[in-house]
Amino acid sequence: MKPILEVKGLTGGYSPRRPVLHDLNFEVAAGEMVGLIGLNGAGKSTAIKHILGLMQAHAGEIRIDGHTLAEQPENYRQALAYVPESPLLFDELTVEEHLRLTGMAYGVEEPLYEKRSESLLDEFYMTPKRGAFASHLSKGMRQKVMIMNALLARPALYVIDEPFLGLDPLGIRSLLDKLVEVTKEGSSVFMSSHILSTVESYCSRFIVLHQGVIVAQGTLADVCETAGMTRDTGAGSLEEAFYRLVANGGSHGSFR
Amino acid sequence: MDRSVDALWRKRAKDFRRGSSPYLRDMAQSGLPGVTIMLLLAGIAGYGLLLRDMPVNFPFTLVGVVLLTPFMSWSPLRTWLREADIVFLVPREAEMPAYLRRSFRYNTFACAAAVLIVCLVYLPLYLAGPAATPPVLIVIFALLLKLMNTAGAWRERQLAGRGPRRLIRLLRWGATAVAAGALLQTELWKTVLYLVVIAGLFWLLYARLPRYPLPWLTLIAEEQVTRRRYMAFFSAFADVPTESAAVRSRPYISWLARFVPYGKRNAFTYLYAYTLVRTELGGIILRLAGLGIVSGMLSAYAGLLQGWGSACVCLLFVWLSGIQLGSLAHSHRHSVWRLVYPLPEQTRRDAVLRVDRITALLCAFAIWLPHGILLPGQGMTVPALAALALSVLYVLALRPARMKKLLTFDPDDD
Repeated sequence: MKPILEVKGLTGGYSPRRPVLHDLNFEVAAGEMVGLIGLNGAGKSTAIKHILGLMQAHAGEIRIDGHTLAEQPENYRQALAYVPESPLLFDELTVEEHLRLTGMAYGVEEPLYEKRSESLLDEFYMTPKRGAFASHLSKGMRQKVMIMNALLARPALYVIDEPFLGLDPLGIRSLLDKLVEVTKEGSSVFMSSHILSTVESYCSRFIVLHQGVIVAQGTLADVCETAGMTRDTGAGSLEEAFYRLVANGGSHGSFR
Repeated sequence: MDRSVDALWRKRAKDFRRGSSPYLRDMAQSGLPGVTIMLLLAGIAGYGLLLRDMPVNFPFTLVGVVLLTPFMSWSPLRTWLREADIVFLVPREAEMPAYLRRSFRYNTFACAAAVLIVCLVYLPLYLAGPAATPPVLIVIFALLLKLMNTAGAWRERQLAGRGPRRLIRLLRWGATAVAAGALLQTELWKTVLYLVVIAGLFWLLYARLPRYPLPWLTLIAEEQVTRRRYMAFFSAFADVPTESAAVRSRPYISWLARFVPYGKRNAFTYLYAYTLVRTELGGIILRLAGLGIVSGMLSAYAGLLQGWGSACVCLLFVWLSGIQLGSLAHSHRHSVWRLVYPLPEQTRRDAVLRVDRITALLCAFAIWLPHGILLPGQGMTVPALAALALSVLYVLALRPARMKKLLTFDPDDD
């Protein structure tokens, strides 16, 4: 399947002398939902910042929908929508105005914007809050606004960092339903999360990042195998595999 | 190490002064003090001429009420409190009266000084007119009203409900305006009687409404607004740390932003239009334009320096509003969305220039309007037209260059 996100030999971090990420290689295919998991400080958010183009790689290449940021910045950015870990809203805009701004920025046709925004407000139970300013929303509601904005743009790739933080159970359900819907339509989702049971249920592949290195990637069976869990033991939960891979360096010791 | 709340207050006040001093230096280098001194001299000259040739029907009391009421009613309180104090200072609430006493002393002296200065400015005009009350008594009563307002403002801060707080503040400003009018126009015993009655009524009102002993959240929010105002003001002259925007809905003006057409090339224009209208910057511009209109009405009404003084007042406010509008170039430059949205950086710069130009033109027209209406009636058409031409020249020819410079020297630009 055609890859939407291609990361080849990515080494990066805040300082060239102390890279945080070491030679990352992975792909996310069209219509695929891939989970990025790792401990705090493993480099997940740094990896996401490199994909977004907020940080420059020390080495390696990132392509989204075949474009690099340096060569075709507009096509690269048009192909991705981002949901940050902490909601980053404009204090001076209401919920509805955020949606309109996103529609304008991503060039969504006006009638389509009207239709999608109404439907998203309804699905995320935000219709009564459509005229509210960001500062008057709870953290969960702010996160919903971020998610709604990403879903309004309908890009080829969704980059989602810790999407479930602060969301109520209905919000989590709405988000997961929408993510399944967009992947069925051919979009890809690259999602970082600590809620391993949810990641396991919804993602088709996983990338386990530890100390800036990919220590396992692939389907659940692939990750379990890398963690030294044999298929016939039947103990193939992502949580168990993750624990074996990263706890105290795992049986593998330090990865660098 | 002194860990008392009193020492904490002093440290915070010192930190603020130390933090502001570099910006004050930048402001001093910007040419603003020179223009202020020029304005002051022109104002004194114009004021002298007005006193010499006083128009017969000059509204002495109205001008006095308009001048004195805001200074007597507005009672800010700098407490230096921050969000984190909910965790660290709330447990020491019992010690807070000592902390707040410092704040009251700090603000009351500054506000009383401002009232005194306004009285000194206004009294020569008053003495040239009705002079119904002796000037010393006017000063004493103005200071007394200031003290009463400070006490009232504190009580309002303590009120639990936002609605009653706003309503009572409005009532207090109204009552102060009436008191100022009474002080300037009626016999003193009537003013004293009015003050006793109104103070009693307000005391009853404040006592009957639910209130907090120490309104932490209100004080923290007020301090945040004040800090943002300082930063918004300093940002016109220097690169200041970004404080998250203080937002007001301002429905009476935000409807204008809805006219930005839907479309990719207008995305940043849409954002910047709302940023201008709803943040503290919009508030400052509105207040400056309002002050410019009132000053324009007074100077044009008096035909200051055969209309040329009036034209200078117009240009000064057009220039001041332009200087302040420059802060718009700094908005959102640290926003992650600037790098995530699929929009070239040039569209953001074009948007800032567009919003700046339209706003500066609207402000210039509003500020010029009183001159345009009042000066030709007195046969001073040339200064009125000159003020208009120079204002338009400034907005269309000089401002874009300054804004481009501000955007080009953005250190975050790639």
